[in-house]
Amino acid sequence: MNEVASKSTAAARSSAQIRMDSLRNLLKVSEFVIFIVVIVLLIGGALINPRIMGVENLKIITRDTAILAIAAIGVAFPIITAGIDLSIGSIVGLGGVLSAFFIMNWGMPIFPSILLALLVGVVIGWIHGLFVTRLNMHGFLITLVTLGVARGGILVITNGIPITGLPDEYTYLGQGYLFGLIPIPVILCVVVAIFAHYLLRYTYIGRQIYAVGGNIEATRLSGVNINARVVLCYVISVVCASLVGVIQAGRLSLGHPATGEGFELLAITACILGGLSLMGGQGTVPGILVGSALIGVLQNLMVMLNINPYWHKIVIGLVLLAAITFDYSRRKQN
Amino acid sequence: MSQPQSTSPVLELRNISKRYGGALALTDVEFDLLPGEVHGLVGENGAGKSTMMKLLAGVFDDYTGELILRGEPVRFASPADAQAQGIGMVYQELSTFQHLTVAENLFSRQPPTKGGILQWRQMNREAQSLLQELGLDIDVTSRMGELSVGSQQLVEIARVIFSGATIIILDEPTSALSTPETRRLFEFIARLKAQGKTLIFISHFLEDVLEVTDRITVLKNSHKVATLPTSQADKHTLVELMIGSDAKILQQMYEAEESVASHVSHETGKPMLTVTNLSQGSAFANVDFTLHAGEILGIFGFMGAGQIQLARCLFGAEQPSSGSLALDAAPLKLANTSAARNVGIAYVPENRRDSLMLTQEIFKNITLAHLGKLAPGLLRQRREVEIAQTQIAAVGVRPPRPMLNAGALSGGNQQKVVLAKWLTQQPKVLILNEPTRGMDVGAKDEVLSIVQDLRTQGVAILLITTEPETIVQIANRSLVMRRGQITAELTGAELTKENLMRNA
Repeated sequence: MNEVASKSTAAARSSAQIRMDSLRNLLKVSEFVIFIVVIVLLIGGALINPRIMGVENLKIITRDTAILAIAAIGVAFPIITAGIDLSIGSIVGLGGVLSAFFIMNWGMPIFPSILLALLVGVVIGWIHGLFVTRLNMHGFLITLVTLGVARGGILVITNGIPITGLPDEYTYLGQGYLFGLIPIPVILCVVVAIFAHYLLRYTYIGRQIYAVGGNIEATRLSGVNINARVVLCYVISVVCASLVGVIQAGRLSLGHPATGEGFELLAITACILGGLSLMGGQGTVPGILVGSALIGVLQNLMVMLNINPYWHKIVIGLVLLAAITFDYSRRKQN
Repeated sequence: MSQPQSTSPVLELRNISKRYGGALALTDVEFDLLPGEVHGLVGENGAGKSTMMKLLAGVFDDYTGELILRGEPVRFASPADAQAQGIGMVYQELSTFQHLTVAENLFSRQPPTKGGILQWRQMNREAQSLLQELGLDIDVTSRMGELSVGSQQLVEIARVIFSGATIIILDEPTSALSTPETRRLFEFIARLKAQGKTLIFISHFLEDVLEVTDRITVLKNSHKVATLPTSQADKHTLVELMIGSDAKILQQMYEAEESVASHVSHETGKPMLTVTNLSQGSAFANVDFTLHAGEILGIFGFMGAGQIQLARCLFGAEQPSSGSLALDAAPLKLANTSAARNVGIAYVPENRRDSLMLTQEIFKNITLAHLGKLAPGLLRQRREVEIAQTQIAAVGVRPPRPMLNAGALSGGNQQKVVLAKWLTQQPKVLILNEPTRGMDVGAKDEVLSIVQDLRTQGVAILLITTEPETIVQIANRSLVMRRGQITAELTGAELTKENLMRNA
């Protein structure tokens, strides 16, 4: 962006102009724009219904945003490599149902049962990665398969009946608060976000992940093990979604077979809003957090303002359309 | 081949010149094409062959001079216009519909319909009889993609004829063909000639040109240097004409260089990379050579000789079907490119789009290859930029600004960045694929002098190029590749442009 500015030949620019320029540059950062939109929505909503800015509602918003953000950060990894993971909706369901199943039906302790559910996620993500790298299959296809198969697996495991009676220590993950104020999912989200941010921004592996999305052939011919990077991305995606499944099961106090339906749409929308491109190679964790916040706030407002629930999916879909249209028109300009 | 009746030419170029920017691509070219002849067009890369082909195909119309078709001056407004006037092009990269049948390809412009309904039976019948007329035994209901490249090409020629072409231009028609396929093409060409068609045969393969044409026109540096009957030509005269008088000048120019080269060749180090009996499908076969430390070994060949695939196999980007490699006397197996990088092999691709992230900063491009070694822990941008700055200074990237996007650099400077990427850790083997393609003389010399410095430092360098000058200028010795085979090894005084071209 500095380059764009320096190219404009105007040698002598007034300070007012420069201030305008920097404001314009800031507005070009879509994360910043989205952040402003989130604030405006909250304030505007609160003018209609003051409870929106109340502590109880803010707890709900941050919790829902955090849960979505964990899945969005996960799916961002394949998207950055110019792939996609459509399976995460069903994986969210599977993660919750599996951990609940291990506890209630196998009598496993809580922590190992969660670990085992995440481990299943590692295996599924690894299989996705193998199909993408070995067969050169687009992630869209193999994860679409899992979207169907995993949902079916959930029904087989549960017989279509929710698994109930989860212990309090488990539900604490979804329902609990730190100091009675900060929802536990927010803590988990912060941990995931810091991990992902450092991986992407401050390690060579992260740089190579961006490089794969930026120019896969140049990256391969630079001696980068692109297969290993791509597999890692698909693993992270499924593991994050599995973790979201565990949290959701805790929040609902049960392993429900329908959990996570349509969650892939929300998570991918959050990524695009947060500045990721479906062509890969770009996007940041802070951007994804802001994108998730926008969706979290929108969903909350629609509830608090008594908008007919049948309209919710249409609104989210249209927000995705707006974000994608913006992404593509910007690229066309470039 | 018999001489065609000398009648008035079917096509003439009078005093044609064409500029690209400042450079002349064709200069006062005179050319005439007699009806019913097969006319060869030869010349080095950049001599003006493809510009002339595009002119005839109506790709551009901003030339000076006159184009006379069947006695009438014409100026084609578009490729469609040229086609409508009976000029058909068959490009090297075939533009066929792989998933459609042969008949559909033949009728792709105007399939027979009745009331908007496609008449399959009529189409297949007409297509089959068309191919039979041309003496081709190809099932019109088979899908194009199922045919061999040679058969697809014959269908493409048939399609061009079917759409009304009487003058057919074949661009490098034999470069992708096996020997029996080439034979089949030549028989087909003879049949077309007997039917009164006129053909222009553009090719690098002089044997093919000598075999199939009646007359040959030689282009050099945008000028036409000669048109001669094929009966009076041989490979030697053609190469002389293509390289021309400056062969001697070049010789003198490089004589000093040569003595340096032979001097260095005495000092080359131990065998670094040994390639034994390496083959890959139809791309190349039984390649054997040893590359020494402190040596520049050239591989010369025309496009499509298999040298690119060979290079990719040596970097683990493709897998050979048989044969073996050894690095520094230890057996070497390259599962992927990172295996190659880890043992100290560096690779510069032939295509700069595959070598850089053009929308990313220069420093990120430079550190990418060895990032795991340069920054095993957390990345620190300042450290990365420092490393990049050192390399930028070493290879002389201009402007020397690591924060600039790589796409903002000129071609020569981009290539220096690609080299810099591999110099953050000293490589043992450096594979260069067309390192100077498309560069001006100044940039070329700069890149080549970096390469020569690396030789002095003991790097084993494989220089793969279609530009013979580059090899003559800096290589210690050179292999020549033709159709996937090593046809010659040239050293010392034998390493001349003429010998390279003659064996390719």
